[in-house]
Amino acid sequence: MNNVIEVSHLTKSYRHTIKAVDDLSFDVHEGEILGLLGPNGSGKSTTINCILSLLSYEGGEIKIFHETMRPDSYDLKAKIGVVFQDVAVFEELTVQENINYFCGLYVNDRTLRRQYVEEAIQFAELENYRKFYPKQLSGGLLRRLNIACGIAHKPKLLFADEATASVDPQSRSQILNSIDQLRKQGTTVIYTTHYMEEVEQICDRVLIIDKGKKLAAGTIDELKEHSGIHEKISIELRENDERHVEELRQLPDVLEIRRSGAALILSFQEGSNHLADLMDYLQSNHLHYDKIYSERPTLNDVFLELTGKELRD
Amino acid sequence: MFAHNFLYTLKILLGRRSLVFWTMAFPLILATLFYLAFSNFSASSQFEPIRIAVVRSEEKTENSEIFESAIATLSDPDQETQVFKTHYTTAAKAKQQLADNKIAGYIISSDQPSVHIKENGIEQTILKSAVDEILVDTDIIQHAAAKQIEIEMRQGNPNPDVQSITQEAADAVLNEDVKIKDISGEHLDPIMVEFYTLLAMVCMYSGTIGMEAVSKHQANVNAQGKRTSITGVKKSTLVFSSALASWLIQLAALTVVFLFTYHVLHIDYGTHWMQVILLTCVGSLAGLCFGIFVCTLPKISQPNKDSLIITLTMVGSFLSGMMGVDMKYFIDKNMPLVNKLNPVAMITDGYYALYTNIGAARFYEDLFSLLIFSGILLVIAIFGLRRQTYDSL
Repeated sequence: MNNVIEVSHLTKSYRHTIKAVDDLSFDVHEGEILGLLGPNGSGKSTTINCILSLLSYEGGEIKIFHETMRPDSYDLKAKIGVVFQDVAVFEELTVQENINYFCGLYVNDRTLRRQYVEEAIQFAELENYRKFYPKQLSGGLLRRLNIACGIAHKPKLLFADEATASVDPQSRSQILNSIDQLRKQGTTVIYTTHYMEEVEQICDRVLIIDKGKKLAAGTIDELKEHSGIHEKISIELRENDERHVEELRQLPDVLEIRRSGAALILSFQEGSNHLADLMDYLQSNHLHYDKIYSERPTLNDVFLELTGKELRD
Repeated sequence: MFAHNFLYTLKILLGRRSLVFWTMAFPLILATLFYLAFSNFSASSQFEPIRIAVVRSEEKTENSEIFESAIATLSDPDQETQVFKTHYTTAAKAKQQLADNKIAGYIISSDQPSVHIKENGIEQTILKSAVDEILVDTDIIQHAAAKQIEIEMRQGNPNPDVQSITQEAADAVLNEDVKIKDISGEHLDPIMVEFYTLLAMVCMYSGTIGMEAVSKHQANVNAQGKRTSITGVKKSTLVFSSALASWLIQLAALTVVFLFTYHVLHIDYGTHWMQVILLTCVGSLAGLCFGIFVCTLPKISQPNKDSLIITLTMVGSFLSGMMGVDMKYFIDKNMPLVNKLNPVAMITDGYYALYTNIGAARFYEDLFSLLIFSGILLVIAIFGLRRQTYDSL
């Protein structure tokens, strides 16, 4: 498998005391979307900024397209696109001018550039907003413009950092489809987000980091497998008695029980008849419930198990 | 890529309304206000020769003779424009006349002449400027004479006529350069300093516009900077094309201010138009370099950097005489180093030197001081701008 990015033992500290990235190593394969996951302050953005040579780092090596990435690696930079969390466009330029400006920093040929800009406008579905200024756009449209500026020059490698932050569901869906479409066109993508469902929807592989360290990496199925949670059962009991929680903990294969709002969530390791066992217990103890359902573990459960915190903490 | 970034930087900067206001509209408004405020005062202060006294030293030296000759030229009533009405007296009498406000000041002529005044004012400023200039030219005359004597001795004349050589050098320098004359044919108007300071202030406003242009390529300043830092274009190409665009806009703004003040307000810039344009370009360059330098200062937010440029420019303008020429004289007299380091004062002084024809030496001294000022700031800024990776963003 051809690696587009190779990060080896990357170490970065702020003010020589706060370790933001700690001996981090990973690869990104050609044509995949790698989801970079981690809670706030886990080192995701720092890692991306180090890869892009915007941040200096104390140790490690970063290779992009098999070449060491340096601040003056202009040939490598020309193959990269970035979509940052903060919208990076100019208020004084229209939608079309913004895309043309950023595209023009990569593509010199005017005819080709005109074609690329048009394609980016269509890609981001901004055809009706060409002459609009950024402040006239909604949050979702602004994000789409941000993406169009980052991909107009047809980069081989795209960094999308929280590309869907603060957008409506419709725009989010459009953005995710766009990124998936880019992957289909051969672009390799590193995608960071706070939304676990987005990762499950579009990422081929996931890298989970916390406190600058790699906690797990692999496909979503591999990570779920790795977590040890086989089944999750949620139940809303009418009686709220801690004694029952302790007794439920004694059921076969129960890994842990936690509360989520009104519901109790029981995680089970591999086994069988978990729901039947639980129903038997409820009947024999004359316990009443409003809802009960079983589901496969989500990536969020994996994340929670690995980091001990919710992604949006 | 250079042209692409240059053109888009022009578009971006011209799209910033506040920037356009402060660069173009604000100076026009201020100039109009100055004009309205000073027009009556100016009309009533048509230039009259300044009454001064000269106290001759008992010991005649070459220096004192050249100096007195220059003062006599400036006091000649037969000259087209007489700057001083001079009489010779004793030190005690001069002191008394100054106390009685009968003279603006008196000069003690010696090897190192000194100016004595009671208070700061326009007349005192002119007196001080003239004496300073004469002293500079005295030095030039002595050097010129010494060089001529050396040449004559080398050519085989063992006893050159020192007195006539010195007189010839003095005539050449004093007649051509030293005379403070109203070259435009109008009356010499010290109020012009206010307008020159205003122009100098506009020159220094290049700092704000330059900073705006260059900051869009600094990854540690804004998101646009991060994006442009990850392109295939060299940072130097981006920075220089942006700086050039901002300089061009500033020169356009200055042209508008010049045309408005010249044609509408009838401000007199003398006849040395090429030097005026040169000084304006260099002054604006100094402002630009100042802005780029401030842009690279670490740990200061963008709004604070803006405030820093505007504050320093306003303080510099104040010290250069924008709110009254007395301030310029006060600083020149008591804290000369301040205005030697103050780019607004350098630009103002350069315009004034051209207008009054005080001397080319003073103009070029201001011009080169500005170039040195720009060069130093630019070199420091380049070290900051060369940086492409940061410790934090």
